Amino acid sequence: MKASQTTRAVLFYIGAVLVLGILQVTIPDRTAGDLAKPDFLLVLAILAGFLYGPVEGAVVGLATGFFRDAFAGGTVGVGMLVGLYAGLLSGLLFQRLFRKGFFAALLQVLIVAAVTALLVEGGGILFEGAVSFTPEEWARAFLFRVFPLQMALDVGSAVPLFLLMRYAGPRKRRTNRVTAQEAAAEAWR
Amino acid sequence: MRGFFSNKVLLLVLVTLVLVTTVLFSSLPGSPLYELTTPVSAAFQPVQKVFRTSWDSVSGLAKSIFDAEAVRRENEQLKLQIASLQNDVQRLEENGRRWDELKAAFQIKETFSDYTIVGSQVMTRSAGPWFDLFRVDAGERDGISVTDTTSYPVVDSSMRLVGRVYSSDLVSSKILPLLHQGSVVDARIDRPGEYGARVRGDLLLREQGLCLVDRIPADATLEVGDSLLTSGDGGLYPAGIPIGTIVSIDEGKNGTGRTATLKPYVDFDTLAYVFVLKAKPT
Repeated sequence: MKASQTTRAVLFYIGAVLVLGILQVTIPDRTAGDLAKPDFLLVLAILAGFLYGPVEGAVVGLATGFFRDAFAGGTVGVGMLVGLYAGLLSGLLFQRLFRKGFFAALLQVLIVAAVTALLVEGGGILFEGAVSFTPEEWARAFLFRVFPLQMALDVGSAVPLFLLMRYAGPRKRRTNRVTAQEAAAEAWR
Repeated sequence: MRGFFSNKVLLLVLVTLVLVTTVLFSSLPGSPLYELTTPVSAAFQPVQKVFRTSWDSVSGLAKSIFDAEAVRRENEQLKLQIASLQNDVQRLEENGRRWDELKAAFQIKETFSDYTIVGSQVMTRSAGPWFDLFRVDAGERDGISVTDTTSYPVVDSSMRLVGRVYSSDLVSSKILPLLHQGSVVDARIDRPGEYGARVRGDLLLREQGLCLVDRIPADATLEVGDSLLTSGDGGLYPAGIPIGTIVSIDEGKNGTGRTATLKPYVDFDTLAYVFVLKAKPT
């Protein structure tokens, strides 16, 4: 990658992390249906991984995770771990199956956000130890109520973010389609 | 060295190990790792304030437009309530005079008179599950310094319990809300001669804005609508801070013990200012 391209990518991601991060921690909790709010930072990391490969996804995931840890995390590092692996997973998953199109991006956001949400929720249960609820109660309250709404919000927020990244993002528009597949294939070699 | 960094799997393992170590170290109360956030907090404080103020203005304007009809109806109801309240005020004034007499007689201290109250603005809200602490603009420079043995209760403008300070850096602090699964508060039922109980955050109830009440003594009377206050046990929270009301009771089949769910008085979504209670040195 040329120096000018690197500069453009770095500036884009710094701006995106700052703006989306501040938006994330400013909008009220449980924005939709009094249950959930979109996770812009996670979606950014997933789309970076999907469009530009696992390394870029992992680095963006780390940056978004640091922001999350600094502003709303209890322990420093958990957010960075979650972001790192979400970005990485997005960059590696279905590389040979998906073209880098709009609907594939939304599907990838849905899959990776779902995996991340379930792992985070599972981690929460694991660390809580003696839980006060049965699996049925958990399924009723989280899996069939909060989780679908959270996924819908994440996929919904991926629409403008995908268009932004594709047409005014870290790469010039004409280089996007060519470099994305190459980057994904080469970066993890 | 170049070969090492070109091996991405090895690099990933290394980064993961560093992050896991960071998590372990930062999970210690009063960990110096929280100082890492000082430059970020200091840099973002003004930006965040502007963003937050703008957001509040825009959302306030939108809300006022949509709520116009509701406000009119509410106004009519409030007029009726005012008439009723005026009657109550007269009664309470009389009660107040009696209370002053009793207070003087029994030398009861004013609520929180042993505490210095530090007011602060809520700067950020949660950032998703597991990242649901919120930040306020008071930190070590305001005398709020969390260590492994020191923390501070946090209340709202009506002196109702919000949570406690989880960590602090130079210019800001993170607040662990009541709803968080890491929150535990010793409580008592607001009724003469009643027993204590424990209020704690619960992973599942948090999604519904509720807390779990457990360790309820078998012979204690507990009903839906009961209020719970801090008991003063445990040393962190002073006695008598309102926590919330009981919304449901589970009688504990299968010998699991009686539990209840509690709706905190504080509305965390609209919380704009909080007050940190700092114990005065004795």
